[in-house]
Amino acid sequence: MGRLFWKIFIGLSLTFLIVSAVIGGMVYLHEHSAKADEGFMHDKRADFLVGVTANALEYGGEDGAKALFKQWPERRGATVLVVDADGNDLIGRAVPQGSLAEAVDALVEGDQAASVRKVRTPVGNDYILFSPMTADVPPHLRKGPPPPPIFPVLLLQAFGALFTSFLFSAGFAVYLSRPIRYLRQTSRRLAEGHLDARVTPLLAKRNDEMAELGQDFDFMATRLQTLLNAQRQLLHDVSHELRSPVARMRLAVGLAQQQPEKLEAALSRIERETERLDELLGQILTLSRLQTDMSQEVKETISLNELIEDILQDVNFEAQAVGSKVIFKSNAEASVEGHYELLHRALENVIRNAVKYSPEGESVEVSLDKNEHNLITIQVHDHGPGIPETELEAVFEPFYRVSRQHKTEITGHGLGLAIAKRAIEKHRGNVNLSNAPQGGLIVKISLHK
Amino acid sequence: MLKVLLIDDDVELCQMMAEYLGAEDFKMEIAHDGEEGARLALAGSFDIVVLDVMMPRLNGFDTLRLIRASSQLPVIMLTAKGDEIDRIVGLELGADDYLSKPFNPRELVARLHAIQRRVAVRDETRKQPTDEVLRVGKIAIYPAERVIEWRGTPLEITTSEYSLLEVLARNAGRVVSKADLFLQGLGRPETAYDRSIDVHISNLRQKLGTLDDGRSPIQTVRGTGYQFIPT
Repeated sequence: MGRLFWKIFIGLSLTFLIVSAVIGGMVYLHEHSAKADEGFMHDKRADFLVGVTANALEYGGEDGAKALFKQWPERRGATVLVVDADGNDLIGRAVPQGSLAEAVDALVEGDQAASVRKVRTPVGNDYILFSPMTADVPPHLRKGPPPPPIFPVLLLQAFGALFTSFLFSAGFAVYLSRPIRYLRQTSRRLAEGHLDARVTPLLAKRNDEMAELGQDFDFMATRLQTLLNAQRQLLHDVSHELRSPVARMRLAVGLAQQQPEKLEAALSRIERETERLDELLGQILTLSRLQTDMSQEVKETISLNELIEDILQDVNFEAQAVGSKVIFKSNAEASVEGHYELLHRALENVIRNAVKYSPEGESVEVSLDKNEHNLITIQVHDHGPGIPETELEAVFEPFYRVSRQHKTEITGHGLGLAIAKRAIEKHRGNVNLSNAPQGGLIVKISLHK
Repeated sequence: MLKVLLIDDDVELCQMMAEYLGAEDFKMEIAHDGEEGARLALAGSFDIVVLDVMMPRLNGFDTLRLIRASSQLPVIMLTAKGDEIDRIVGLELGADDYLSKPFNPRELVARLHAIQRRVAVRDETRKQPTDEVLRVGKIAIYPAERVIEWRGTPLEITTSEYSLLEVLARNAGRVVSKADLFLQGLGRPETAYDRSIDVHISNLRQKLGTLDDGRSPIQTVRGTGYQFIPT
């Protein structure tokens, strides 16, 4: 049981105790004050007043008594009722029935004779005289049934209430604190690296805010798990990609040591591998930058026409070597707000890919369009083998390579498209791949101005 | 001349390895994927297979399973550096040795020579058949055939496992240190973080089963090495 349990338990129990004590006290007092109109006064003053009135009535008749009442200052606790056989007061005041009944009882039993009197007037009418109890009379002056004994009935009730309130408090405290304990256990397990820890199965029976919190927690855990697994996979792939060029470099060094006459070839091999490593590292860094929050970085207005012309200058220089050419057709001037380097890398990767997979001598077409809704479309169309339909989505995964027969002259790390897609998405655009009906791959990049 | 089959999807690396090992007097053949590699390994008369773990389609482990299904040909696995699981999985599947990539080519040559020596010893003993049978407890070792019988039935074991069990059996009752097992059993010195012996021993224990009293015939002597119980 945690501290929360005890806090809720003690808090609730105390509340129950205080509330039941207050309510019990009120009920007790109410029950006894309700008896205020029952009973009659039996102190000396009442005896005296009743005696005076009795004398007036006995000797002066009804008129004597009425004359006395006229001089009588009406004061609290000093009322003397004169009740006839029909139960009506001589001068028409209200008669509390409980008090009358007790007064009659007292007469029959013969005690309290001084405070209740039966008087016969000279003409022979019988009256009962008494001073009725009123609510504001202090209890010690009252004549009434004795208060109920505190022991043992009340004590038993108190114990019962205490027990029930403890039981209920404990149950409620468990009900509230258990899901929190489950959440805590699960988050600890998660922190210890058990990424498959989930809390919903433990809260299966609930259907309240706690269950919702659990669902949100599990959603977060699932998201974390996916992200971490993706990171792990990426790290794994990166280390594998780095391993290959290093393995070749070590072999080149070994060859140079084994056969010194091959030093030249080994050195140029090492140089080539170093360049590959360098390029790979650049791509990996870009990719990792794309996975972080970039909202803080400066944006600028970039002319897409100029950007593509820039890229084509470089690419065409290399494409000429294999007799290929990249043709650029634009029907509009388009520019976007964004990160120059990222857009450059994205477009360069796509265009270079197109050249790489195109057969020698074939040209690659790049086109730029802008429609009336300011939607910019860049299409890159090559005449290469295309990509199998089932793999059109997968090629955007880092290090993914299309499962076709390996062509040794095609090198790359499977990072180009992954970077292009993420970079374009950072600019709220998207990248689409499709195989052209007449052959070749079409990369369609959509951007908003 | 040792005939080596190299199975690796890295075309350039294969060419360079062929060039390097060719100059070291190995006869090389290359396969670029697991299926082709397993087919060549089972069909050809190779002395040793060098097998890369990370390959597309059929990976190194599956290739090793294919080879081990019908052959005890010595296999050296090329595993990822720092990936201990890969090494142990490879050894458990019956690889004779491993080398983490990127590796020093001289190291590969040394490992190949170690296996070559074992093969040479085997060929030597085959050429001059002797009736020598080494019986220790419930096992019978026929060095000429490199066959070990356990309770009368021949064991399906790799060359590395055979060598280790032979070393242990010849020293039955005595504790053999790991360093000695490396040198005499695997023909090479122990390297850092090397779990090869432990995994081979674990494989052997599985194949041998238990003695009548429930213990394994190969006992671990903590911090020292292993001991074969001659009962």
